[in-house]
Amino acid sequence: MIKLHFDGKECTGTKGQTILEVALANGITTIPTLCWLEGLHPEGACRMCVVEVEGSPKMLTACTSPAEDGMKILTRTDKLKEYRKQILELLFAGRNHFCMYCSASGDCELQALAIEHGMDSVRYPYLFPNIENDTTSSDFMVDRNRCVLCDRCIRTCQEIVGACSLGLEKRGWVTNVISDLGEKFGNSSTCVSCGACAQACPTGTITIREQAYRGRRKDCDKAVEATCPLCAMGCKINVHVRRNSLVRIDGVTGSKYADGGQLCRKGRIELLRASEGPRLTTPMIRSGAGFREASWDEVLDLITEKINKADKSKSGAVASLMTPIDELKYFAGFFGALGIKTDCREGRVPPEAKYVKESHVRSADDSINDRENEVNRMRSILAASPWLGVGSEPSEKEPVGKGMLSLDFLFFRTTGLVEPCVDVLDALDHSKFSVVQTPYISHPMAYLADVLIPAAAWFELAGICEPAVSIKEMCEVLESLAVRLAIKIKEV
Amino acid sequence: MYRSHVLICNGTGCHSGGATETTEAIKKEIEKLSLANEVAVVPTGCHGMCEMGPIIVVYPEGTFYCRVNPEDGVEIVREHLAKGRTVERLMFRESERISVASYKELPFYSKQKRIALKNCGYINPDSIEEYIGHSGYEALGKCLTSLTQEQVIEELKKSGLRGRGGGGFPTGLKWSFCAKSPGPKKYVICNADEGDPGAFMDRSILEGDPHSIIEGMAIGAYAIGADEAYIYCRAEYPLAIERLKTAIAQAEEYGLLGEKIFGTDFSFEIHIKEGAGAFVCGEETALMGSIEGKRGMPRPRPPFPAVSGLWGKPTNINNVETWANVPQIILNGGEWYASMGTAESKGTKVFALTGKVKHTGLVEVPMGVTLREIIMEIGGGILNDKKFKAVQIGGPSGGCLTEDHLDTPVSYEDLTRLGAIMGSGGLVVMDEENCMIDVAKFFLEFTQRESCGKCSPCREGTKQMLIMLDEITKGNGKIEDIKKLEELALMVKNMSLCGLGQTAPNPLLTTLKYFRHEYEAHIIEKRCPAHVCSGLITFTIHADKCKRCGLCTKNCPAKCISGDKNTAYVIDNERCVKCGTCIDKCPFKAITKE
Ligand SMILES: Cc1cc2nc3c(=O)[nH]c(=O)nc-3n(C[C@H](O)[C@H](O)[C@H](O)COP(=O)(O)O)c2cc1C
Ligand code: SF4
Ligand code: SF4
Ligand code: SF4
Ligand code: FES
Repeated sequence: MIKLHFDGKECTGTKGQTILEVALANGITTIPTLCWLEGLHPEGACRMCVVEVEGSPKMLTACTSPAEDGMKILTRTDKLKEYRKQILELLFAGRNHFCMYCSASGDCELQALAIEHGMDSVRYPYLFPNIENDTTSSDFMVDRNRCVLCDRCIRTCQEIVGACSLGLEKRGWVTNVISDLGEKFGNSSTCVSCGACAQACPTGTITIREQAYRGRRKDCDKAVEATCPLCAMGCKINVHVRRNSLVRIDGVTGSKYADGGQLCRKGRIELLRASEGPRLTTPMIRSGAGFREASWDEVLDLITEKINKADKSKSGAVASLMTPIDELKYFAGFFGALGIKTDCREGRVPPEAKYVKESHVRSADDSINDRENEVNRMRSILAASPWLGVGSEPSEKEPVGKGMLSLDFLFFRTTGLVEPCVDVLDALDHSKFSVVQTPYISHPMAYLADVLIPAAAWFELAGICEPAVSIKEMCEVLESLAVRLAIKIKEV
Repeated sequence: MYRSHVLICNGTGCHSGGATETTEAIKKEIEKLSLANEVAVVPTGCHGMCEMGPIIVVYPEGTFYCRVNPEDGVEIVREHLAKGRTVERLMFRESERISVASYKELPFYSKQKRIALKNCGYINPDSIEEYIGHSGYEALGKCLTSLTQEQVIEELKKSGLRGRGGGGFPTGLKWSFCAKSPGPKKYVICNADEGDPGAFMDRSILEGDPHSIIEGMAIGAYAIGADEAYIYCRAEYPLAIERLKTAIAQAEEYGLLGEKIFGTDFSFEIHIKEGAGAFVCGEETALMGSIEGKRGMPRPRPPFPAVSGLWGKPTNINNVETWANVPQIILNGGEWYASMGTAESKGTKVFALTGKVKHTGLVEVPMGVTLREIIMEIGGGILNDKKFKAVQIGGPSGGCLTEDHLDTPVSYEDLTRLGAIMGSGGLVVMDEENCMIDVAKFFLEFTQRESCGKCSPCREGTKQMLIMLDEITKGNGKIEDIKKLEELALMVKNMSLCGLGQTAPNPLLTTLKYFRHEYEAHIIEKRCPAHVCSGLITFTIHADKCKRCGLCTKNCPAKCISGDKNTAYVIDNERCVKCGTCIDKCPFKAITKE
């Protein structure tokens, strides 16, 4: 154990820690940082974190200098304040930091530092460099005019993502961040579009289109830590919420979790986009070519009636792979008691959603399969049914045979986050009566159902947002049905 | 045995001056006169006085011939070698009358003390036998067979040798750090990046005496316990790389590199790594990054290379000149080396003397000689007998010193005290026709361009300083700029990550300190005292002297001079590009600049 003083306050640390690490662990917040980011190797590039040590003429960068026993550290001498302010002025003068036109304004660490240091004017001329922006990627925009060359994006892409897409070009004042040795971002062959760099960027240089105008972190009411619902990797996500809607999804940085704060493109971008569809707010019953609103009682009575009439061997229940495991258990117990086969499947990854290629992220894909095996204990009705084999896609391959298929009853619980696969759509198409429980009204699934019942969205189930509508949870729905059907739900 | 040796310099300067052709001509003539059994022709490394090249020295007399073209070479063979009559016409002239007969008498050489450059110009760098003949590899043998690792380091400490690459860190101490670092794998590196513009001291050693570096490195490797080494040499030095390759191959053949050297347990191999020539790649951490295949960017220290260097292993890095001194220190003893120099700076230092002096070139002097001795005696004084104004010492990040500092002894401590640095040994002499702001701008332009772009003070600060200097030279300076420049320069000096940023403001800070009046003249009086800054000079045709010949009009590239036989000639200073052509062309000296 070592003892250090920060502006007179005694703090303890361990040998091998940097000055900044000791400071942070002891709640010292007077050391400004810009290029430092938890979980990355310190770079010592911005020089904002310099401190003075009593009895030494040298200025030390807190983020890189090892803490030594007995150091008397000064974090806010007049000289330091002046130097830090000068650096900030240089950064502002060097590129185009006009905050009112920046999507990061309010979230920007550079801006926050300027405010903190009372930088109300810039004594150096603005240089207005002629720097190219890169908007070629469909997921990101890169406005290098706002870059402070802190290297956080480059280190993130290298140390956490492992894609090593980013680097620097040129020297001196014309240095810039580039991808793939100068290739445009949109043409990058190494980038996995995970967006980790954008999260690491302290300024508005790298922005994710999907996030840019939903709002800033600073304007959010809260940020909730949760688990990404999309696959069995279970990456930790930090969901920013404003007025009960999702604004952005970040990885949880730092070394707290095994994922190192990394998310894949689906988790960061697709999930956010998918969470936003038109919501189903009340139960609906088919009426001609459309639907009409109905009460819960009416709907439940109708379903009871149809189940009672149906040939159980020609009935099925399918739940999304992304359904929470507690719900799944209920689901299996309920239909098991009725003797109806259950299956778990959701959609395909839409082809345009560029899937994560890198090794440790790719295992997310495998994990979906793992989980599928796990829930396959509930057997696949669709595979077992005489009329449909997994992947047979009769509507594509055997259009004639398709007419011969039919189900009496089908129940489908979906999260609505991805499109259902063709198997499910086929089954819906060929059911005499089908119930779809979904948070969103999404097509073509909604066309095919006879009854739609609203479900909670993933972020409501995870307690991130208040349920926006009067929604019954699945257990509640099944419970009511069990009473009507006079059955007892099995323990699974 | 030969009765005469003809040493022909094959250093870069002489090479481009036509030394190869001269060598051919001399060899042919020797054949023709059947002197081949009596006279040996030896291509050597640089003698230092490149401006006089191609240089030929004939031994045993030591006759020093300059600017020898092929015909001159033939004449030297016919007259000097065949008939024993020296060719007066080609000998170095100290002044109009006296021509100097021997090498040793040249004032350029008499004040010098050659240790690092000992063999340069004397031996054939491509011949390991010649190097061995000049007690080469004796020092290595001595270390491996009779000195312990600690004793070698002790000798280095005693010598007081400090790093010649610019930092001036005591070499013995540095070795001891690395020796103490635990681990079976260690590296030594020779920093042959030599990025200072105009510097060629390392190059001359590399080209003129590559074996001294190899031997020095082997000794260092033995002392710290390393078995592998890299020489990081810029690719712009193809001759140096060629000679190094030859030397390494020869040393391997002789068993002086490789496994179990001198039958001991010491094994050592050397690789050459060619650098692309970025200035910042001379910085040790950037250099190691570059060897590892990364972008050459400095990283913060600690950890120092001695703890975690190349590929994370303990590494000792020294400059070419530092390594070249090592064998001599082992052979002659640390005390011998320490007997030269000042209290804190021992031994000798090689300087590249350039600018407005009569004799430019490479000079190696004992530490502690004064700037006056180097410039006025070795350099022969200011070119065209103009007035000395300043000397810029230490390369692009050195400082500018004045007349008042001429009697300063050249040593790490004295130069640092004055705001200059020893650097790698650049010495640029300036006369009254140099504008000091222009000079500061010139060096800052270089460091700004070569900054690696990593840390904000250096990347952005050097650019802003350069802009302010540029405005001043254009006559747009404001008096507050001086204070602003000073503040910014100090911040960049104190806050930058590596030596480049930390020293880049030196030319600016020293000129602000010692030539403040020039800044004020530019800013307040809108006048450039040296008549250099084009924004601040005007050209005038004096009617009383003008004979209306019209030559100026004819030659003016901007076509801004009007007039004819009947009306006076005048220059439109708005359009004038300040090229000075008119002044040169006017036969009557009727045009002046102000
Ligand atoms: C920007 C910069 C450029 C440098 N360039 C060189 C160089 O070209 N050659 C060199 O030997 N040292 C150079 N150095 C110094 C090296 O970092 C290092 O101190 C030196 O190689 C150590 O060797 P020494 O102790 O023998 O001087 C440079 C340093 C800086 C900061
Ligand atoms: S999106 Fe991910 S992979 Fe692509 S550059 Fe950014 S961090 Fe690297
Ligand atoms: S893009 Fe952002 S993270 Fe990357 S160097 Fe620039 S400011 Fe830093
Ligand atoms: S001082 Fe200059 S050269 Fe050195 S790390 Fe900083 S930007 Fe790069
Ligand atoms: S935070 Fe330490 S140098 Fe940037």
